[in-house]
Amino acid sequence: MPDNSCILWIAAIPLCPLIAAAVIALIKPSWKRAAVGAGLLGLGISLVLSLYALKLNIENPATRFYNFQWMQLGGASVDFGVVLDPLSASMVAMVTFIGFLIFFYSGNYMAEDPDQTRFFCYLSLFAAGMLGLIIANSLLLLFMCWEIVGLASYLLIGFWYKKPSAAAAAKKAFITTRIGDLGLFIGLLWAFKETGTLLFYNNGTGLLESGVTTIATAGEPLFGISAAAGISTLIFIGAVGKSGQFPLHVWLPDAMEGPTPVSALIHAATMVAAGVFLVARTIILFQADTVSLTIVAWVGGITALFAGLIAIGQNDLKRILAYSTVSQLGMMMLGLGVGGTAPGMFHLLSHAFFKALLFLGAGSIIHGCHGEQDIRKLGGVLKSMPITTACYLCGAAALCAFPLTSGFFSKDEILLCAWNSNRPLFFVGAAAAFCTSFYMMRQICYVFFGKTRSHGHPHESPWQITAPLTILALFALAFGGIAKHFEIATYLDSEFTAPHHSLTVTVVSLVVALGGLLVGFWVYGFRRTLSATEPDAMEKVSRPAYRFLENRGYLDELYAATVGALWKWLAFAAEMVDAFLLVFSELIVLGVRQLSNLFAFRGDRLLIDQWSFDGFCQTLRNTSFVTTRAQNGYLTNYLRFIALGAVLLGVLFWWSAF
Amino acid sequence: MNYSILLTALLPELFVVLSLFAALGVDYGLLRHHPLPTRSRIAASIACIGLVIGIAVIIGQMLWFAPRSLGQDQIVLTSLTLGAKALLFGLATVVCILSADQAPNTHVSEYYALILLSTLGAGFLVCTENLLLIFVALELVSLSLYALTAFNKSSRASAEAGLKYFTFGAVSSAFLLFGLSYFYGVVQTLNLHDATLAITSLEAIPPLLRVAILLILVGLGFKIAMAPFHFWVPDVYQSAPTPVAAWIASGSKVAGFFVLIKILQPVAITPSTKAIWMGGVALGAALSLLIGNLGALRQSNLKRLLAYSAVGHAGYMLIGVLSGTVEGMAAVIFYVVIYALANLGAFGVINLVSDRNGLTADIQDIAGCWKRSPLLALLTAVFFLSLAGIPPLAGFIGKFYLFFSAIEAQPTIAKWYEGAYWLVGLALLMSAVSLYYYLRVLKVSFVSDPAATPAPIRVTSAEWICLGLLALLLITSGLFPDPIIHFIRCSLVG
Repeated sequence: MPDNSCILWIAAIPLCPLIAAAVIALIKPSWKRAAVGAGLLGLGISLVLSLYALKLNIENPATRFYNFQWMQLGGASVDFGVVLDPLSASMVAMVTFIGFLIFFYSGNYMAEDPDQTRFFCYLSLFAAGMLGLIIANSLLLLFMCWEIVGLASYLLIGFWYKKPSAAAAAKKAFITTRIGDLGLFIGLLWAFKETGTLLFYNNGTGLLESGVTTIATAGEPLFGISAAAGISTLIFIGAVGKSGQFPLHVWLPDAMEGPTPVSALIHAATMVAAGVFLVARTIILFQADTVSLTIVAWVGGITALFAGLIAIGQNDLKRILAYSTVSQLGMMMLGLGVGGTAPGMFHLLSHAFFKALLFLGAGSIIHGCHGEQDIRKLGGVLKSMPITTACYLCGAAALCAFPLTSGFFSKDEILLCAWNSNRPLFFVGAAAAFCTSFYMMRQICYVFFGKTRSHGHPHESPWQITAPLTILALFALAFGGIAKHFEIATYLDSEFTAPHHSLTVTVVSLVVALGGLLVGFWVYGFRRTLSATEPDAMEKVSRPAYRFLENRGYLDELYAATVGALWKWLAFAAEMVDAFLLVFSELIVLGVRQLSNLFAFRGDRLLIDQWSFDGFCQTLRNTSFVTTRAQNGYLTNYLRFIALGAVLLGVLFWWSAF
Repeated sequence: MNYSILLTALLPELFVVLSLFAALGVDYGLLRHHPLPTRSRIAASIACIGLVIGIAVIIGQMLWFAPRSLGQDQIVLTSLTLGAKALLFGLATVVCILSADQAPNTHVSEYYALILLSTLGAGFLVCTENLLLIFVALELVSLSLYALTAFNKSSRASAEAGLKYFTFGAVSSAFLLFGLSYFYGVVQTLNLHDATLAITSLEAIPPLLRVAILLILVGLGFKIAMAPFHFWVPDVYQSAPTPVAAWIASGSKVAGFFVLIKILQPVAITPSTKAIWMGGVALGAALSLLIGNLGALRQSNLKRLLAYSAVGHAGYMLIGVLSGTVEGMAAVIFYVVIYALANLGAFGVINLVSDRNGLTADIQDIAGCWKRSPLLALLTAVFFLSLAGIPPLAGFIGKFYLFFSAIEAQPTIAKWYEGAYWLVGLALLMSAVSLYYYLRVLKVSFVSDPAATPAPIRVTSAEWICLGLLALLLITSGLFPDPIIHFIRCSLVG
């Protein structure tokens, strides 16, 4: 057995950005360069450590962990720990690497913002939470980091809090993900009740070791749901909220109100992948009762297709990417559902590179075109921003699963697994892939070709912005192939057996990827959109369908009409109850006052201890039951209360004697 | 009795007594014609040196001496009592440092001598298991505190508060002594350990025992500020010099709860004797929770606010006392320690923003603290949020542990009104209420604009260190409470 104590140093990976966040929080807001430097330094150290951890783990892909007691409460012990296994090693390396590039990019992108210091503080806090979430060896620690990440996401979406839409989007994101978090929390408590531990690995007694057996054999099902299915489904609800799965995906497109680097880091590459990561981490629990695994696969498939369709009807550059992210996250869930950890996580890693690239590219375009985000008003970017265009096209190719790019390998893996285990879902996935190619081609035709339809002259971004783009572009192209060559699937999941290659799958995935591109080019490529107000080509084909997609399936309206109305009604009811209680309590006070008057007036002679009780009633009458008024400063009165208190206690003692 | 053993056992107290005489002697012998601030600082340093040496000796005793008891449990030295004594000495050190820059009147060395005397009393109180010594030590603490409360001779309010405190205290002492004498009548021994044996061997509960416990509860209720025996608290906290109020709220409270737990120990073993006092304590807890927390809502004076909150906190701790289990006692001790640290810090901040500038601790004194001294505002936030029980600060863990132990002890409770559930429910409700007044202080400190000509905030480096250390303790013991809880539980079990 490996010596686990020497693995404690990986705790430094989240701690470095945390310290950086603390330092940035304390320095003066005007010290922007120092803030950028501290943020980069913190994450840079984490990057080096993470790469070293990855190297160690590739050499010896065992699960190593270090646990320590957080507190002891009665018989229950609450432990924390860190874990290094292929899952966490590959994730920390990806997050720190992409995070570092995005930090670097933001150093220039946000340079003109007066609050850049605050921005880097939040970013570092986010990085700390995210890295902590990955290396946590305890579901509770993971949940704590999960909440830190949620908080950082809230703060960053609402970074421009003076903009009402940004503030509203932040609130929406926070509340929607909280719904999922509640599910996760209940699942956590349930798991603790069944197994008495929240550690993932603990020399055979952890939640993912013997805990699974305990849960799988846990007695009576509750309302026909077994403990395993219940716990894993509740965990999945948490993942649904965080990873923007249908039907809780509504917050993610709105989250694009945040600064673009935030969209790239949090709402494309890392945080939204946390849900997928969580499912991958606890996949053994899901496998204990395959009901929940089927739910995961279907929710993923539906999300992938639904979001892919909606993306066709969007006109905001970043919103299209946001729906594309939702769709790809659905693909990952689908992969987890049909093939276990390996295909889902492989797609997560490759997606992180090209989606971060696409967002950063979008940021560069927005930056170069003076803040314009509407694709109908953009156009002709190819000529003015060649480097950005080239990088963006690399990312788009990878997203569309163009042969031999990253996305091709990872998506192929998922479709292959789906083909072998769940045919209907294979077709759903293929349809989603077709949508992906189609909307990306639509976006490319609008943005890069033709002539500019906005005012002002677009210009290429400086090297601080294009350099990260170029690096990410290389990864977007090559990562999948290299990873495939070194058999990443068996590294991520040692029990993964590669499904048999099927010619049908390869043909279908090639046809949908290239077909989507061709159809998209046929619809949008040949016509010259001259003005921004011209109706979309799809709109001409079927107006109601296009409107449906443009309005995001009317889901927001549906929620407002159902859940929102319900809350309003509940709030109204609560207000009524409040008012009623107020009247009620007033009545009680009035009654007691009358009663005390009565006592003071009539009853004093009947009482043995006239001196004490009379004084008490006098006080009551004077005070109308506000406790502090009894405190009138007169010493004799206070002494009376000692006597009264003693009598009161005496009565109680006498009573309890029987 | 072997005097050398007695000497080594009482070595910490000896150093404190020596520093007491040194402070008096140096002040009246050498420094009589020096300016007041110099005299105050030197006397405070001498007192601090004595206390710190005392703490060092106690730590030595903890490391090298086995637990022992002297003179038939007159002095019991276990890791718990030694730890409590060290804590009390530490709290007294902070109080001395907080007082050093402002002498309440010209008799500076007497002020420190009185603080040291009450520290000695409190130290004996936590170490003894002898009824007579408990009473004597309690009187030593109380008498010093009466004098300290009235120490600000130029202030009428201070004198008035001192008189009230004294009168109230004298009446309570009478109750306590009366109760103790009845208790003695029942068990025929002054030793609490023997008393436990005597009570467990009783066949029926004599009525005299009920009366005894009732009177003891009244007497000690005064000490721990349990409602309805809390009436002295607001006036005394408000009018006493702030460091003295801090000392009453922290040191005296720690000692009070130790004594309460200790005296109730003999009657907490069997359910039948437990039933005698549980109803009474439950009532006291409920009243304290209600009166303390609701009363604090309306206060605009910071010290008065903390006074009411002290009553409320006594209510929380009584819930732990009520459970009567080892877990419950550990929870109470942990809570009272954390509470003392946070409260001392809070009073320290008030001392800096108000008393030092001759103000009367109105809530507006702290207005704009964030702009005037950001670090002090952050420390204030730590202290008040810990009092409010916000994670990750230690106050949260304390409350959580307290409620946890009360719920866990539920099966041992016989009647519904003694039960923990309704009390814990009430306590949770009142914690929510308490957020309002604690956060109001922070709102004024962080959001409100400072007065047009804000008084300067002067803080000496020793005070920074003290307050910083308190805040650090609250944060670390909130994040890693296990070592402390473990220590308390282990030393309770023995």
